[in-house]
Amino acid sequence: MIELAIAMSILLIGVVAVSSASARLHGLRKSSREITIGQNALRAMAERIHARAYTVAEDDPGEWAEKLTAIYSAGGEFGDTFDVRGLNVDRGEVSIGSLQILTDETLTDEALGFQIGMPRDLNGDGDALDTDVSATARILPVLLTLQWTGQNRTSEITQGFFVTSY
Amino acid sequence: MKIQTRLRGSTRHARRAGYSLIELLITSALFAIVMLSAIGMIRSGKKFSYSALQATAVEDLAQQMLFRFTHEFANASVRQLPRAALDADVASGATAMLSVTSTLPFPPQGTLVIEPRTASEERVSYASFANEKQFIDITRGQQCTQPSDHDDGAPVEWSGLAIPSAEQNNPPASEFDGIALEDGTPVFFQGDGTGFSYRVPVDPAGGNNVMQGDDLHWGSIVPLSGPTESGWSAIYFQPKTEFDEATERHDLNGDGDQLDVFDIGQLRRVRWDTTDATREEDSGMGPSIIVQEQCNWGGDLDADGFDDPLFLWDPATRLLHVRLTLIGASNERPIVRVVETVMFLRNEPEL
Repeated sequence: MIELAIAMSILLIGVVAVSSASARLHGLRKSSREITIGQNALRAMAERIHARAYTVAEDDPGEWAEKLTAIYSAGGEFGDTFDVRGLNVDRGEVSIGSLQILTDETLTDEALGFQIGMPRDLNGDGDALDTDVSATARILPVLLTLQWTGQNRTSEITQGFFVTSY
Repeated sequence: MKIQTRLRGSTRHARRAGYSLIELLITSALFAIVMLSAIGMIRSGKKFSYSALQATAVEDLAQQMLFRFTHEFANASVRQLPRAALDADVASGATAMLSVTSTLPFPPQGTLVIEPRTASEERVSYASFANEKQFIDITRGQQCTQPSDHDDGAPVEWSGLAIPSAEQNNPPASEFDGIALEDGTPVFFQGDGTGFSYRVPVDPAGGNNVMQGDDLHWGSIVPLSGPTESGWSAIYFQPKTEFDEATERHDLNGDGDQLDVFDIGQLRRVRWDTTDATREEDSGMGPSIIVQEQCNWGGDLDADGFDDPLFLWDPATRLLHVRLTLIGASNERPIVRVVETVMFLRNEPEL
């Protein structure tokens, strides 16, 4: 009887281990899919911003930076947030994606918490000392961030890139 | 005395060590239950793992295809829309060839739409060109349309093309084929969006200099011709099998019924030399897992009320939206995955 009980216990432990591994595999797969959706969404948003930067430059090259930052600021034509189909909004947040166009040349990567190559001369005046280039910038750094509630936890990814006035 | 004690002890030992039949039955039953449960759980775990791996495989394939398109279209530009007009009257019974003003941006095989968005709309499949003005190996009345008479000058479109309609504010039915959701905004578009016709910068000399003054040499790399300015490229959808919701007893697009039939096919890339129809390369861009609703290519595939063209290109913004709806099997049940991306085609189109 004791031998049987031991054998059954070992068997049960094995079965629980297999089930647990399957559940973990499923969780990882879902998590991986969410990250893929997020990365695709960031890439798509970056391309849309490039396209908008191009049309603004075509229509009004003199006010390129000013108009572009206005479009992507809070209350602007597009705004500074966006949603992503397939991801769930994090608790307490109103949207999944947020975007930030930086107009301060003096910001550092350390201050931003992201390696994008700042500080940098954005308006082509030969230095990186201007704290507001929103009227004169030739290139602008953009940070896109996604934050969502995924498999049992909050996930976040950030992408940085530069748009040019073409 | 010694003998008696031994005998008693032996009797006692024999009673302790043995199992009654009831005990044995209970033990066996318990063991059987545990064994069966274990086998059941292992089977279930195996199915679960298999299902997870299958789903992952479909998602990986979808992502690989998106990357291939991103790479393919990185420098691409639309140099001419695949649209033309009939240059002679066509009777409903004519099956030899179709003569148009120019076949130039049309891929060597595909589907044409004659008189699109009208009561006389007809879809005609073709398999090759006779020359720069004639499609041959044609099949009339495709995709739930009927062969009908068409007049000289009637518009002809390659069904693969999808572009936003000029009128976006309550356009009449004759101005659009579908409504897609673009960046949260409904966009009326024309065409099926099952393909994309484009050219890429090439160096006709075979080197790396694609510049021609301030412009670029546009063309394609075609077998036997090499990099040539007479080359053209296109991606197109080729149906291979079908999925019938009624037969499979599965509502694939989640629209609440099991009445729809879908074409399952492959996206293929064709590169051809417009000066020599024999010089052509046609290759698959991935497995045959792309879903399109039969007789409604480019239609809604996820029951969200908006159409899902595979390729929707906006010449004004130069944005190409690629939406892939793919089907896989998991535990003998179909699984559908959607992947999409948007590409800004940096090179200026010439239309």
